Amino acid sequence: MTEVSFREAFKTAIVEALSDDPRVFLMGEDVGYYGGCYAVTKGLIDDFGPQRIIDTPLSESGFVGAGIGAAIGGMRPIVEIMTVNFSLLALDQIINNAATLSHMSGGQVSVPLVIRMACGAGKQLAAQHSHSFEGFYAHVPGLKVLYPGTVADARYMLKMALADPNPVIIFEHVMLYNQTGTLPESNNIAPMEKAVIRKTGKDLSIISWGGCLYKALQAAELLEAQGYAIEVVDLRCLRPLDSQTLIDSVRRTHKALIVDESWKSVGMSAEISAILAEQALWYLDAPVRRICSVEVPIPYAGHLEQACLPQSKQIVDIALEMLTAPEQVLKEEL
Amino acid sequence: MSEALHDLKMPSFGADMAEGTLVKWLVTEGEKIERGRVIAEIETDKGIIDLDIFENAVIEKLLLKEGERVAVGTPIAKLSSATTNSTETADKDIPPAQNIINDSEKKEHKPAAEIPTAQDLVAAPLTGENEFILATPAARALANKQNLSLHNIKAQNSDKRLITLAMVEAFDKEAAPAAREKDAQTAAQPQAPGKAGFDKEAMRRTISETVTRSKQQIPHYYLSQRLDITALEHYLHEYNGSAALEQRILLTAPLLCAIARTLIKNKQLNGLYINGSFAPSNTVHLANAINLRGGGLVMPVIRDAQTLTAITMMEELKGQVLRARNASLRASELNAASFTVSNIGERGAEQMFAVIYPPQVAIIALGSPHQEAMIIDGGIHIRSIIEATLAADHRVSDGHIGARLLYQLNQQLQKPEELWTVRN
Repeated sequence: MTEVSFREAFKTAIVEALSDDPRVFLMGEDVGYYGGCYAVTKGLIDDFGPQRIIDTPLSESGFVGAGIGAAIGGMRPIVEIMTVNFSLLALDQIINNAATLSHMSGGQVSVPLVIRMACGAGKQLAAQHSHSFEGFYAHVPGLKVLYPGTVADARYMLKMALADPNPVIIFEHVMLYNQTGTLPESNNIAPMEKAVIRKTGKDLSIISWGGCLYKALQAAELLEAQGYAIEVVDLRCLRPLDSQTLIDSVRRTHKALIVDESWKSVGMSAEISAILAEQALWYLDAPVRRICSVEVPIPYAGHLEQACLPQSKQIVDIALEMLTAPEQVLKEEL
Repeated sequence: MSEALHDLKMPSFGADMAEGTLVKWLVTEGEKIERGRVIAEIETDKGIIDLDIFENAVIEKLLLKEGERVAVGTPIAKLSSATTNSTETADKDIPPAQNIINDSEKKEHKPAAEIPTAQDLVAAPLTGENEFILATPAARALANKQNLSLHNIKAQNSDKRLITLAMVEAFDKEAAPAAREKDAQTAAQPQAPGKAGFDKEAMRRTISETVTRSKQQIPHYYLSQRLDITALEHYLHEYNGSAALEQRILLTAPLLCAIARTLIKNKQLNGLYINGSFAPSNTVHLANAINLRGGGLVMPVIRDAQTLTAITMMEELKGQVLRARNASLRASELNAASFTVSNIGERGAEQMFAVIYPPQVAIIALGSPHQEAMIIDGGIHIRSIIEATLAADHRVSDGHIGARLLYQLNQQLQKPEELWTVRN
């Protein structure tokens, strides 16, 4: 058991992949000599050389396209996009090419590409570097979307992603890089497409992933101190979504609270709510609740930024409302 | 006219009935029937009951085979309220004007279409008959699975706006085991569909279960009062003297009228107590215990008894006693009593302490009429007396309320002429 940071876990995974498989290479903006804008790839160019750690021009569409071509050609590229906001420039490559080619070629062409993207708010990087667009990508058939929220997943999911013949996107929340966690000795984690119950409890399920998972776990502990047994479901993989695990959890606890750093409207939290309404309705003992970011572009000012994001205290407050007075949400109707 | 299509459900002939067997259909599919028509024979533990219906309708489909046994509330037939055609021929040939007439007729018949059950009686004053009860889906699902009425659960949690799973679980734990055990016992009994008349063993069993439950759960209190019926007897004697033989009135009729009219003023004795909560009834559905020759008793209900006069009450009684002894009581006569009167009759004991019939909260037992010497204004007078004994549920009312009822009843009997006119 060792204590490592998420940054170290992501880096170790990349080093392992580069060492194990000569087809693997990494490319992206400033990943080489600069060491990555979040320092995940620091020093790799010294160990693996500029052939395998490639600094690209500022052209997301160009280098993601190059990654797709390399993947089709038999390589196992890891493409880093500096932040999810910039990935919008590469949407055409990701959605129109990477996600479709296997289908359009009748399975003859697969695109075993891994794209890593930093995402999320909390570092005062303002509205063009802070967003959570995992829901956009989770919408698209042909893609797989991973969002590790533990160091073990940060360490071991990359290998699974590279082994998958489909394009896989891995989100890395910027607030996690410096956080540390205990890395288990064994690399025996759940398959990447499975949701994992991080904490079991009978009173309420908090459903979360990635950058909000630790907030959910903090809130669960605070609620535990008040005598409630809270279950925390870590989705880990947003596409394909392991709906069975989350449905099973809600069938046990009868209450679901979704914590999602993206906006509420038309996003992941809406999708999960719909799944619960479709498949777990008769088990619900309170309306599904959602805690999401305020629907504004993420502000620059530190206090405003924090005010926009889901916080542990907010999770505790809403959970208590659901646990003690589920009719609260009916107030206006009654 | 498909919107006029609706289910006829297995009715409940009492709070303790869980299932009924369809013995015989007396109608066929496609048949046009009129309000009041007896359409089927249903067998319960109380015997074979004639199912009469409350609307003009067409029998669209019979959903049960003869001999089939189903739970109360299960649809047994599909009816359409259309009065002119069955649905097969409805649309094409009818001019629009006729459709409108049908629609208005449909509306008129609708309120009478549903036979209120004991549960409706309880729920009505609290929530309104058709009110949607707010319950979480999980609560609703469990209630449905355990066959529990949300109305009853709501009654027990009347301070809450929303029924949650925990409330249903608590209710299920408290109330349901007894009911389930009973259901299991009932289901385990061998059934003999098609057998005419009353099944005496089943009836004995039902009586035994009901009175045991009553004595175990209801804290009874008892009050007795001598009812001076001298004036009533005189009035009755005069009335009968000038009436044709078939129009003569028995003492029971004005007595029941007087009880119903007094009850409507004493709401705490007239209603149902279900799952920890009492709901008074706005009308008096008076169950009249009738002894059967050869043992057992049935308790047909006189609906809205406070609105009857001695004359109309007598007509009701004559028909009912006859039908009870022929085992052909109608469904509408066995439903949802709010109070019971047990009458020992002319040759019985002077005083009787009756057992409350749950979920009702009171019962009056009338002893046999007899003469007694009474001291009135310092003198000794021979008077005709009936000893009335009220047994009431102490959870709902206290002694002074029961005493007031008996006092008012005695006062009413001193003005017998009022009982021959409609109460205003």
